Amino acid sequence: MTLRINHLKIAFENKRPVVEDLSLAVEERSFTALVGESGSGKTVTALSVCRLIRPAVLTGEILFSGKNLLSLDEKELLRVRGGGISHIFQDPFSSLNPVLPAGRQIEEAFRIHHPRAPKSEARNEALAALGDAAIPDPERVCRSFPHELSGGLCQRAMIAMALVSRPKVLIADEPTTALDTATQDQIMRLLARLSAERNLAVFFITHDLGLARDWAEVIYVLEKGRLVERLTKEEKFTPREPYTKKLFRAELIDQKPKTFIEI
Amino acid sequence: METILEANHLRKTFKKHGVKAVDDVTLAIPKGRTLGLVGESGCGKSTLAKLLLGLLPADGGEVFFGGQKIAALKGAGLKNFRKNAQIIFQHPHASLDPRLRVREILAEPFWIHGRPDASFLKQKVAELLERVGLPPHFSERLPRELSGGECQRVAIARAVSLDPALVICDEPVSSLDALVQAGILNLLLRLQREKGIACLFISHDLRVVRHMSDEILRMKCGKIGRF
Repeated sequence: MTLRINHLKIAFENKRPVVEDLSLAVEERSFTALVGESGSGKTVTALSVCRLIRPAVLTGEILFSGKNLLSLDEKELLRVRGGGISHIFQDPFSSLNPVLPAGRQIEEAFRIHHPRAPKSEARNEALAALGDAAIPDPERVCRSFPHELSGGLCQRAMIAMALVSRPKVLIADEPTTALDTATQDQIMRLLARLSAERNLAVFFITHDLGLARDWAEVIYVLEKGRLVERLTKEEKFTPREPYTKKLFRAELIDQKPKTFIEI
Repeated sequence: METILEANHLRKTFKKHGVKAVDDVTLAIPKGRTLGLVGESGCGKSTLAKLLLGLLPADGGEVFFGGQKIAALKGAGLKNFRKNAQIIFQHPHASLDPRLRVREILAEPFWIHGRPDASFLKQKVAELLERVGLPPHFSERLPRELSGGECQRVAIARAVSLDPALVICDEPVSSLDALVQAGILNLLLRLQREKGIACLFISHDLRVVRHMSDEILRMKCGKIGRF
């Protein structure tokens, strides 16, 4: 077991909790998806894993290699962030620093975890990570600013940045939503390949049930902060819960053209 | 079949980059029907939409709307064209004025095309909100107080407010999740049935286009192919 969440509750100040009693497991090397509508609590869950949302009050347990991340102090947590668990986000343009070349940002991610490493090593690691992220011309991308790169290339640079510290778990929060279908497919293929080759567990968050069905081994379905269903590989096409069925119907839009979709 | 809009050999090159965004495109949209347009990012779909509405000048070719050449329209003729050919954009938040309340956004088309009195406007705004499935109290909201799906409903209400003959939908559901997307598609189908509006439906998502269209064109590197 790589990452396990037990009875997680996420609340902001004194408001009603946004996520309640969430338990899930991300197995080693697996491709696990968390699916839900906008506002169902997917992203706060993703961010809570490494405690990236300060104002939220987290209760429950998040276990990663034997430790409860919710009880670690800030210093220990820094080693987990990036070192054990990396993140990539939905919009590659807004998650890269616009005033630094892409390569510099990847080097920075490496040097945080290897403070004594010489500059040349950081550069080589960055180039290697860009190669791993299937970027055809790593040298050029290294020198480029984010605005000089396409959305797909930016997202690959983000993946390279997430990989350069050699994590065990990659949390990908809507990694393909901002990309077109062809690029989307390339990025998903890349994540699947990395998961198999690098022993990486991918925890993949999306509102796109079709995408989750195509790629994930296990799908967790979240509705208004509560887990409604867990679908294994065999059950992917036969949901039991009404909410999941509704999500399925919304996906089946091209079955009967020019008719109303039943939702 | 009678067409509402025709484009012949449209061309547009962006000189700075030397990109032929639209390259010899000819198409026709029949009255009351939906023409679908699919293609990946950067193939020129949105540029084509802007050329068809005269929001961008073409380098070559011509567009006819109801038999009239749009490049030659001026004054009242142009105003009438603008009233009859509307557009819904991809990013709902970016296409609404952030400083205006929903009622002002929906009243603006009536201000531009006539001098309506306050009670008429109030009634129209209420009607429009109801038609797009939003509660009446939304009239006082600002765009930032709306979700993506709600914003898109306001943008749709604005586009259909003057009973246009044609609406160009440029990726209207691409930034929305599946359930909200299904709701918006249902709404567009319903409005189209009620009023017989012709539609050019643009998306990179073939499934969505297939769901909405009577006929589909595919665009690649600025060129059109039949599907």
